[in-house]
This record gives sequence, C-alpha cells and structure tokens, in this order.
Amino acid sequence: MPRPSPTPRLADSITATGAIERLAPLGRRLVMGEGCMVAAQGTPIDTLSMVVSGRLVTSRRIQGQDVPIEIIGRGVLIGLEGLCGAARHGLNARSLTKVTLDLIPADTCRTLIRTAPDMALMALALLSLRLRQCIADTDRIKQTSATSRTASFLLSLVTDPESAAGPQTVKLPMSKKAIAAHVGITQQSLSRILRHLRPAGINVSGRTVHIAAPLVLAAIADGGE
Amino acid sequence: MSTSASAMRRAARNRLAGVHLDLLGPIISQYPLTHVAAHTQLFSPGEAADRFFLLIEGKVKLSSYDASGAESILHVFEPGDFFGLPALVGLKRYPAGGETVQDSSLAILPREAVYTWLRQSPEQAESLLAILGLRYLRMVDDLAGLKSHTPHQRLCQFLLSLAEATGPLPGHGSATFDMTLPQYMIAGRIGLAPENVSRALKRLREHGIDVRRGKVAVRDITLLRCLAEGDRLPRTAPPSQSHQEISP
Repeated sequence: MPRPSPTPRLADSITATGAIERLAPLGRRLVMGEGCMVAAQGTPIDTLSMVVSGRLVTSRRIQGQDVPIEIIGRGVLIGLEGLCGAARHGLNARSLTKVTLDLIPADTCRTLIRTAPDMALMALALLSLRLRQCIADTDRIKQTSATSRTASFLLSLVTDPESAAGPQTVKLPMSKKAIAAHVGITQQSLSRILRHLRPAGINVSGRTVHIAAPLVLAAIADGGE
Repeated sequence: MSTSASAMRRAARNRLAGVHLDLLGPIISQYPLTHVAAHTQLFSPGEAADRFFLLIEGKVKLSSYDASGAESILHVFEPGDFFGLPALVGLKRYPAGGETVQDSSLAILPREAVYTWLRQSPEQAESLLAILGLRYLRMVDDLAGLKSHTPHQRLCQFLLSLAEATGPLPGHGSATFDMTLPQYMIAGRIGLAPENVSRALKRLREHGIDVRRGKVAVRDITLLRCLAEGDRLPRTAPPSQSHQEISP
C-alpha cells in the first residue's frame, strides 16, 4: 500500500473545495490570527468552522495530557465529529497561522443534513476523510521510524513540495515540545534526530528551518535513511 | 482510565450496536446474510469501494501493510459494527484491508443500495454521522495513545480493555479473563513487533500479571490500572482479599 502523502490528494481537494462552496453562503467569514483557540474539547458546538485557508493543530486531552493529533487546513469542517452525537467538540483546535474560517450555525447544518441528500453525503464524505487521515497517521506511527516521521513533518511545512526542488526556509509552527508530542517522540529524541538530519541539509535555528534539498528530505520521509 | 469511564464506554457500545441494527435494519433485511469462514479477505487496500458491511457475528480486522508486506492492525470490528461506508461515500477506495478473524456473518450491501437509501431517507444520515463521529474519536484516542504512551503502557491498557470487556471489574484484588486475540494481533493492535509482545508479557509476570494458554491472571487489578495509566506503582500491592473470576 502506498504510504500516505503529506500533501492532500487531488480528490480530497475537490471534496474540500465543493464543501467550501456549498457552505460559504450559509455562514459568516472570520479571519483570525496565529495562536487563537477555534474549538475547545468538551464545549457545546454552536457553530461549525470551515477552514478556508491557513493551518490549525488539533489536540485531544487524555489522562490529563493534551496530545497533538493533526495539522489541518483548507476544507476541514471543525466540529463535524460531534455535530450529530454528543453536540460537543471532541477536539481542541488552535490556529498555527492566520486563518480564514466560515462559521456556520450548527442548527443550520443539522437541518440541511436531515433534509438535503447532497448535504448528507457531503458531510459523510468530509468525516470519512478525517477518518482516513486518522487511519493513515496511526499507520505511519506504527510502521515508520521516528526519523522518517520527523522528516515527513518537516516536509509538510514546505508549502508546495512538488515544485519546491530548491532550498527552502520554513518556520516551525509549534514549539519543539509540541512537535515532539505530535510526532510521537520525546523532546530529547527530536533534538537527536534533527542533529542526525544535518548532513542531509536540514538546519534548525530557533524556529527557523533551512531545508537544502526537499527531495532528499522526501526520500528520508519515505524510509530511505 | 477510571472504572466508571469504562462502564460508560461499555454501555455506549451496547447501545451503539443496537442503534446500528435499528438504523440499518430496513435495508439489511433486503439482503441475505453472508457467512464467511475465518481468514477470508473481504476487501484489500486500494480496491474500489463498492460495498458496505455490517458485522452480525464474528470478528473482522482492519489492517494496512507496508512495502515488505508487514501487517499493522488498525482496528478489530465486533458484532454490531459497520464498516466500508467511509470508503463508499467519501474515499472511493478502501484505505485498508478487511479480513475475518473468526467465522463471521455479515450483511453486505452494494453501493447503489446505500446511496438510494440515503437519498430516500436523508434523516438517517444524522445517525450515521453520529456513529462515524464516535468511531473517529475512538481512533483519535488510539492515535493519541500511540503518541503519548510507552509500548509497555499500551500493552497494559490493552489487557485492561480485555478485562473491562468481560464485565464490571473489582476495585482491587485478583482477576482472570480470556485472552481473546492471538499475540500477533495484539502486536499489530498496539504497534509492537510480535517478539517484543512476548518479551513484554514475560516482564509483566514480575507485577503479578501472567498470560498463559489464552488466559490472563492478574494478581491485583489495581496494579494493572496503575501500569496502564502510567502512574507510579504503589509501594506494596494491597493483599488480595478476594478472587473474582471473570468469564466472557
């Protein structure tokens, strides 16, 4: 089975674009800065937030620990996982960059899901994409090395890895502690791995990462260490 | 995980199985049950998703495979679970493979039947979304566990979940229960190599947790809870006052 790509698939982008176009007229647009809480686990879902642009990190609190789950972007409908069940957010979501969101009242969404078959199928499709991403991430953490996962994370920071064959400078969107938790390793292991990646052209200074050759990093992410 | 949380989870699970059958009953009744032998591949990763399954009896594992063919078990479905719907409506292809672990009975519905049903009864989509939302959060919890817990902790959590699945657990004291999955499946489930599961199980003996011949004997369930939650172990385990036999 091919390893899940860190970049969204074309079919997913089409689903996301379709959902944004369908939902935009129903809500109001909001722009938020970096570091804002968009959803808090356990709070009632009054509105759903469709991500139009920007990046957020989701996390889930288990046994008193806030564990980063996924970095999400365009086309994710925040709150959908709890809309028709507990009616409470199952995850926290915090912006990592400036984000543009369409806020849609939860009641409007529920009514449409109950009455419009295309809306019902679209909501099932959007939640299915989240499930698949969760399966892919679980798979990756079980089957790939910590180095490969770290390389994959760094690669995901490159906006367009397909066309970015040359050197890239990107900013770490979270603290190293949070990144280590997201990758599923200790902070000490992350530091060690970043040191080991230096010969491959990865240099980290504070929150700035210089990637000399994204294709080399892609090979490491794909398991060639 | 606290006992009350696990009791709530069990209750939710029983309700869920009933909800699945109530919800899907009208379309399932139109299709005969299919009986499938153990170790039958129902679908493979990447295969076009053209059918949807409701498990009535047995067990089905959801697995992915790396380039060398090594298996990673993502989930084990139980009676009352449905699967294949996300692939059907959103993904077009199955993201993982499904194989029966035991002899199983399933209702297998073609894509068009599901689409027609959803078009005719869009109000049912709300219940399906609620079920998928719960499943998503369950998988998120698994992922969070993989990220934040040590392999040793994950093994203890798995043993505790087996114990909890059999019924109410005593607050403390000993317990025995069945090991319902073979070691290679446990390994896939918690993300460890099978040989490491063997070693980890042997190490648990020093904590009074003995796994032999399909049975798990725990000297003190409090200790297993502590190990599962990553707490510091009590200096001395409370003496066993009672022995509760737990049978599935």
